[in-house]
Amino acid sequence: MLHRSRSLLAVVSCAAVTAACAHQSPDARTAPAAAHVANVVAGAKQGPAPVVRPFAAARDGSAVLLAELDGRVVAYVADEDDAMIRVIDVDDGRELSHVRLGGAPSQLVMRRDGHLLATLRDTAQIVQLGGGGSEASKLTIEKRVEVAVDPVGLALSGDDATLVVTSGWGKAVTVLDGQSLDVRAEHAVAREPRGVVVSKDGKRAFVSHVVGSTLDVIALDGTTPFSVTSKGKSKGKEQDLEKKARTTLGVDGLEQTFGRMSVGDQARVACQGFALARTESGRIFAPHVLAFTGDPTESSDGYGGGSAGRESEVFHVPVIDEDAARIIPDSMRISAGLENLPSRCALPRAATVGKAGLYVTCLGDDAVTLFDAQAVNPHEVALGRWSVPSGPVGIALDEAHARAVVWSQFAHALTSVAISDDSDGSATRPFALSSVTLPRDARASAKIEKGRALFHATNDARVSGDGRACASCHPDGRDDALVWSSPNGPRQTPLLAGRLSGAAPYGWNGDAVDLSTHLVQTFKRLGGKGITGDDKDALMAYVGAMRPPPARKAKDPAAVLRGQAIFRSAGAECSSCHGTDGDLPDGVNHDVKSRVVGDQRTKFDTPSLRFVSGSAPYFHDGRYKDLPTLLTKSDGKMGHTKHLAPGELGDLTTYLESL
Amino acid sequence: MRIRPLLGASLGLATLLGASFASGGTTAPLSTIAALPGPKALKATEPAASITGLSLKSKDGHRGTQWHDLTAASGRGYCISQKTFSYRWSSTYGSGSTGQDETLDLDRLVEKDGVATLERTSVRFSPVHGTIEAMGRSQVTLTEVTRAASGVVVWAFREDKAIVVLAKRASGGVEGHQLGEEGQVPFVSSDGCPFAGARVDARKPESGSFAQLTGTLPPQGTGKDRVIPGFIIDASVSRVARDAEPMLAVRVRMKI
Repeated sequence: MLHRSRSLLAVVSCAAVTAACAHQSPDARTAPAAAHVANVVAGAKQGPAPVVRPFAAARDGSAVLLAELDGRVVAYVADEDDAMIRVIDVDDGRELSHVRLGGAPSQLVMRRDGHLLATLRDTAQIVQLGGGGSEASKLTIEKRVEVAVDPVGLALSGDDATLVVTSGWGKAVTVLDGQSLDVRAEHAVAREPRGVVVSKDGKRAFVSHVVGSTLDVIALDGTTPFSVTSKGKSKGKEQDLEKKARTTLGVDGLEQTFGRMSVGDQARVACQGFALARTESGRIFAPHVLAFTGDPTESSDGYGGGSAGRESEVFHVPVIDEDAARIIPDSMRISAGLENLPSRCALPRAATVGKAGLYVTCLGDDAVTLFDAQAVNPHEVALGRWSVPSGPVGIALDEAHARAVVWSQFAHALTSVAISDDSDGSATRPFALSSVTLPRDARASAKIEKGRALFHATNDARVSGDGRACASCHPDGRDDALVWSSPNGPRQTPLLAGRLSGAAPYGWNGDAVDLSTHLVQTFKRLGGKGITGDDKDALMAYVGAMRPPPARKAKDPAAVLRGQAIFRSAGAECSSCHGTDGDLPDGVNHDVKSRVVGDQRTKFDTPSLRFVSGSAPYFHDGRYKDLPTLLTKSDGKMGHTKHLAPGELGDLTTYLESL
Repeated sequence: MRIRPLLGASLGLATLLGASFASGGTTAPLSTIAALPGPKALKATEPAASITGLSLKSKDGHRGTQWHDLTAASGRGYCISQKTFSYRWSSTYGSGSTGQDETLDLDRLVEKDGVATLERTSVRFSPVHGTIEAMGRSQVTLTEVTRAASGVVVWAFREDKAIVVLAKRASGGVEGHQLGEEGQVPFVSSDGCPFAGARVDARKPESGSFAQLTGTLPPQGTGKDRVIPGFIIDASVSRVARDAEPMLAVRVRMKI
C-alpha cells in the first residue's frame, strides 16, 4: 500500500513552551501494563509506590530514557558529571528527584516492571534501582553487580529476560539475567565495544565499537554454553564455543568519488561507533564515521586524506538486516558526488529510530539530525536538523506528543524538540519546545568545561582545516586505533587520557618539549589556525584532567609481579627506557629499526606505557596488532625478549596489561 | 533546586533553531509497481516512417555528408531516452550520415484523469539513410509513489530488472553507487525534457541499491526575493529478512 506523502511546511519558528500536559500516555504500541514498584529500602521515608510505565525504547540503552510516572512524562537522565540519575518532569522541567550512585552512570534501561538499570563506568558495576523517582518515592539502589571494567552500553531483550552490557576498556560484552542480574556469560571482544541492541526475538545482541572496523553479533539463545561461570572446560574448548557464540561483521566502507575531484573507489575505515538503533521492521543502524587516513607509505601535508582532496572523516550509517545478521552491502558505500543537504555529523554519540526516521545526536555540531530510515543509504538522505545545547549524548522519543528529548551533558541541559508525528516525515518541525539547564552538583571548573567543549569542537577553523575535532581522533580522550599518513610518515594515534603526565616530550619524534608546543604543531598539521590564550589553557587543562581508563583487575596478581620483575630486569631492558613502572619514559629518541617506507625519521621518542594494553595497535606505524606480537617481533631492536620462555612472555604481557 | 526554563536560561533561542528539509516520502512493495511491457509491433495500418512527437531535419555537413537532427516535441511531453551506462534524456539528438543505425526510445509522459502513463515508441534511426522508423510501441500505467505538497510527484514503473523513478522537471541524477567496469559514472542527464527518470537496480534487493534525481521547480517571487526551489528525490530498493517482499523507498527533499 502506498502512503501519500505531505510536504513539509518549513516552519522556522521557535517557541519557548513549557506546556503542562498532564496525564500523558506512553507509546501505546509497546507500553506494558502499569506495575507498582516496591520500595525495598527498609526504613526509607517513601510515599506510596508510583506507577511507572516505560516507553517503548526504554530497553535500548541511552543517557536519557522516558517513562510515564504517575501520569506524567518523565525523563530519567544519566548525569555522568554529577554521578547521579536525575528524574525530570518533561513538561514543566522540574527535577522530581535524583539519586547519587557512587559512580558515574553512562546509560540507562528500564524493565517493564519499572526498575531502572544503569552502567557505572568508573566502578565497573550495574546498578538496579526501584522506587520510581517521584518526589514522594525516590529512586533507591536495590542491587549492584560487578562486570568488566568501564561498562557503558546496555540493552534489554524485549521480554526483560536478558541484559547485555558492553565494557569499553574491559573489551568485554557481559550477558546477564535481566531479572536476577546473574552473569550468564562474558565475551571477550575487540577494543571499545559500546553501542548494543538486542534483536526482537532476544536471540542476538549486536555490538558496535568506538574504534576498529567491526560489529559483533553475539548469540544469546543459550545454545552457546560459553560462560565465565563454566568450569572444567579446556581453553581450546572455550575458544571454540566463543567462536560459535560470536560472529564479526566488517563495517569499513567504500567511497565512490565521482563528479568531484576524481572518479574511483577509496576504502575508508570505521571509527566513532558509539551507538546503535533498531527498528521493528528488522533494520539496525550503526551510525559512525568513515576515515580516510591517507597512504601510509607517503608523507602527507597533514593527517590523512585532506591533502588528497577528500574529507578525512565522513558520517556514515551501515544498515544491518537484524534477522539475517548481515550488513546490507550497498549501505556500506558512500558517494562523494551525491546531492545532499547539510548533515555533517563528525562525532555521532546517540541514536534512536522513530516513525519519521533515524535520529542521531552529534557532539561538536551540537545537533540532532534526522535521516531516512527507509533508505538503503540513510547517511545520504538527511531530513532535518535541530541545534541543541552543547554535548548531546542521549536522545529519547515521545512520539505521542511529537517530541524528542535530548540530554546535553556539557551544557547540563534537557531539551525537547518538536518532531514529526507521522511516518513520512512531512510534518518535521525544526524548532525546540523547551530547554532546561539543570544546576550542577559537582561543577567542574569553568576552565575544564570550556576545554571539554573545545576538545569536541568540530568545524572550528582554529583546530583543523577540514572540520575535525580533537575528539575525532581521540574519542573519549583515548585513541582511534588508526594509523594516519603525516608529514613525517605513518603515525598511530596515541592515547591521551591519563597518559600525558611525565610523558614529555610529545609526538612520535619527541619534537614538542611540552604539551603547549605539541598542540601548536598538531593544529598546524590539521590545517587549523591554532588556539591561543585562555582557550589553549582551557584545552590543556581539560586534556590533563580527562578521566583515565579504569584499572583492570589483575586476574593473576602473581603473574603481574613476575612480569614486573622481567620488565625491570637487565636482561629484558624494558625499564631502562620506559621507566621503572613504564610510565616515566626517558624522553630520548631511539632508533629501534622501525623506519618504514614513508618515514622521514629514524629515531622515535620512547612512549609512556601507561594503559598500553588498551591502545593497540603498537609502534608508530601500528605494525603490531597486540602485545604478544610486539614482544616477540621486536626482540633485539627494543629490549630483549627472545630469551624468555613462553610462560615468562605471558607474565610480561600480564604485567604490561596491568599498567 | 534552581530551574531555568528556556526563556530564562543562558541558552539563546537562536541556538535551538534547526533546519528541516523533508518534504514527504513513502515505501511501496515492488509488486505494486507495474512493468513496462516489451514493444508491440505496429499495426499494419500505422505509418512507421511518421512518428508523432518526433521530427527529423537534415542539413548538409562536411565533405558531402549530412547531419541529421531529431527533435522531440518536449512541449507535448515527448522526450528521447537512451540507456547507455545510465539513463540519458534529451529533447534533441543528432548524428552525421556516416553514423551507424541506432535504436532510440521516444517517451511521453501523459497525465489524464488522475492517471499517469508512460508511452514508449521504439525508433530505429538510420543516419546513413536519414530516416527514422517506428519499430514498436508500449505503455505502462505509472505508479504514483509520492506526491509532495511542493508539487513534486514521483512515479515509478518496472523496466527489466530495475525500478525507474520518474519526475517532471528532473534534470539530473545518479543511478547507484557503482561505477562501471570501465569507470563509467552512473550519472543521469536530462536536457530540454519535461521529465526524467533514474533506474534503481532491483536484481538483488538483499544487497540494496539506490538512485537519485535532482531538479528545480518554477521560480518563485520576484526581484531580490526570486528563488528557484530545488528538489532531490532519493529512491532505494532493499529487502531485509523481515520484509515480505522487496520495498521501494522514495523521499522528496526540498533544498531551502
